[in-house]
Amino acid sequence: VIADDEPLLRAGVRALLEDSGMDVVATAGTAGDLLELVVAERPDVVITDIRMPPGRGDDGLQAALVIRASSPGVGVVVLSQYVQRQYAIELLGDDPAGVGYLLKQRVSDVERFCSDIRRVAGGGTVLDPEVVEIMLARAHAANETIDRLTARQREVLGLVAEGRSNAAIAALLNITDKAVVAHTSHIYDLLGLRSTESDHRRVLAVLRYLNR
Amino acid sequence: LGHAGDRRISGEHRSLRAALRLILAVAVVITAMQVAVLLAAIDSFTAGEVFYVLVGTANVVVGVALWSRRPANGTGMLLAVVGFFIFAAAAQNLGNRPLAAFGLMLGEAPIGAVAHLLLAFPRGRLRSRAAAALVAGGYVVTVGLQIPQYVFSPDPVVLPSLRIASRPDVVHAVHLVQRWTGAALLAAAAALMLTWLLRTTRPATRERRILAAVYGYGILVILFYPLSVALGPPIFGLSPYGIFIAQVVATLTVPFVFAFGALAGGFARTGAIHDLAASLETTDKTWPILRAALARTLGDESLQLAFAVDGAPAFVDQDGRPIDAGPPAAPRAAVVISGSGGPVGEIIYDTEMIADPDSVEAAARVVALALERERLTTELLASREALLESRARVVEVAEAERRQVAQDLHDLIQSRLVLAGLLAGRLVAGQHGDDEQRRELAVRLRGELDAAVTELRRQLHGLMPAVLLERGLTAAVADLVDRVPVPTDLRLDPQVPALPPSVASTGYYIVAEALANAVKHAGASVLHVSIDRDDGHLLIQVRDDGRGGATLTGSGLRGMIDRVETMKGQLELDSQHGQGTHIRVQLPCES
Repeated sequence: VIADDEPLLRAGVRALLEDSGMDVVATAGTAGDLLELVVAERPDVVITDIRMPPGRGDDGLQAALVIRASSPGVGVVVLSQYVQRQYAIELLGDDPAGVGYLLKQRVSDVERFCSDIRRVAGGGTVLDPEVVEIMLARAHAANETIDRLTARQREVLGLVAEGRSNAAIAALLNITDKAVVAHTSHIYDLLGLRSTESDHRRVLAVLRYLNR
Repeated sequence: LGHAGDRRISGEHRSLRAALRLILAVAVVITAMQVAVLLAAIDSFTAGEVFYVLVGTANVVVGVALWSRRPANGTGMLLAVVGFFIFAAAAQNLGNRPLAAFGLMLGEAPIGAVAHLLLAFPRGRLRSRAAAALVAGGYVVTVGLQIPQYVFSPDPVVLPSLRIASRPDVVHAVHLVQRWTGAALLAAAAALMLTWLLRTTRPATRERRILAAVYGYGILVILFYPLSVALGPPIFGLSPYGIFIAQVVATLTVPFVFAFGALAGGFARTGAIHDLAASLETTDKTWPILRAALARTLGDESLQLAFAVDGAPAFVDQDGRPIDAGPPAAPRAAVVISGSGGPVGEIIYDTEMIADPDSVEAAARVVALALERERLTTELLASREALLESRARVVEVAEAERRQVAQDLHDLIQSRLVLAGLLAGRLVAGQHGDDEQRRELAVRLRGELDAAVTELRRQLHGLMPAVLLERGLTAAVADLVDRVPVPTDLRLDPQVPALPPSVASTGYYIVAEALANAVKHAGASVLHVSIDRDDGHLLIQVRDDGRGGATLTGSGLRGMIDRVETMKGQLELDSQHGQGTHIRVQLPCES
């Protein structure tokens, strides 16, 4: 289900997703319609804008939070013109499974956008690099431990926070999976985190660390 | 008696004028009667005797005129008194016995009164105990020592009721005493006036030159009486009658010289302080004009005005020079001008020029009112000026922001979109058959669009942050704080209500500007931001532990104050050097 108050954008995203083999079961122009459609259609994933009717405030985000709470199986991707840390924290909540928060303009990188949607649909986590950057900078200002990471380790930490798997990180940084594991375990030691197997658990741990 | 400058005549003033007219009428009646009697007794009539009466009339007329124009100055009254003494003395010549006796009693009194007049010039008041003693002595000699003349008169015709015995020897002895003590007193008066004359030559103001001239003249007149008696007959061969005529002529000049001196010197001009008030209303409220108006009204060209100035410990004069604290050195004195909030200044005047501290105090009250009005006017003008300046700055800032946005839209967005259009056009034209090349073009097209959108987002955020629209001030401030590269403690009152958009925008701008300043200039290691609701007000505080020393004159802070004042709020800045900076803003918000 796609929700945006701009019909052109709804149509564009719909075409984009359908081109890459996904089914768009319905689109909504308001937060209320979105909530009804989610109950009716039980989609794998919902894509919604933040500023939407009826309130033209953060209605889309509020709808996303309702869906996260009431329909655990439904992945939620929030798109907006502008990302901020507070919205990300609210969206992630206690369980970052099946949630995404991206800048709207990321749709232009079709391949990556579609793969992000699929990751959320599959229970993964996707955070926009910009919001992760804010979190890292903030954590950096507030404590010195982050200082002791190398530039590469900080890069890896950011990618982990964005919700990427070891394999994806390895591919992005052009390094081996083993090297990624080495980096992540060093980061965990330094930050005092327990290393865990599951991707979304470690995302949770890292984000909690950054936002404490 | 008319006074062209009188715009407001008080009841007191009108009553004074009536009294003066009455005095004048009495003088005219006396003159008419005396002249009539003298003319009737044509056989014994002499021109000199009529002339003497007219000298009395002249004294009264000139004295009353001066009295009317300078009510605060006693000189006019003294001149009139001299005139009436002359009438009395002239009664000796009327051939009527009781009147002649009366004339004999006060026959020498005019000389005592003239001495009084001289010693009291220019204020019309005796300035020292020595002068008072001399004047008292003068009256004792001229009136008191006259008593034996009729008590012990050998002539039984004179005042028989008062006559005790015929003692020509006593009369003669007392007459000698009278002449010599009189001469001694006159010499002392002349000496006293000579010291004043010498003292008044500096500073050489116009008043003091006139004062010196009158004193010099007075000394000559005083010396003329004994000298004409002592030297007249042996040197100039004057008969007693000739001496009398010479003295009459000398006495005649007295009223005119004094009237001229008092009027030209401007000593203690009309007491109508109302004139001063009227002139203050119609002139610019500047110090020099105020001072000149006071000097003119009070009759002391050397008068100074001193004012309290913010930040100066002592009063300053109109050129901004501080005046010595404490009472000024004699003969100068000071009267404090009291404003609504304590002393606002003082009038420093010359006690030799202005007899009456009461008139200076009355003037001070008028000046206080004028100053109060001027202060209010100045405040009003200043706040109006500040408002206009602030408005101009707000417009300037808005204009500068618009220019910057237009510049950025043009440089960073429009040019990218044109380039994107160009790339799209090349794709449409399909001149590049090669798939690889088409793909490369499309990737570049996407890159340009992506950059344009990023820039557009940045511009939009600058114009109106999305979160401010979506969630209001506190969320937007939280977002600001998230992006500050310095550890920041944020405290938000959960009671902050939904705010009017203008208040939210202003609050956001304040926090953004304060945080930017703290990061850029203060070198702070920790920041504190808080937003509270406080009794119908929104209270925004931004505090850092940086180097402090921020002033309200910086353009950033100036802009903040303009924004806050536009919203009828208040901004307080506490930024001691080395103590960090604390900005506290209160914005009114109806909730």
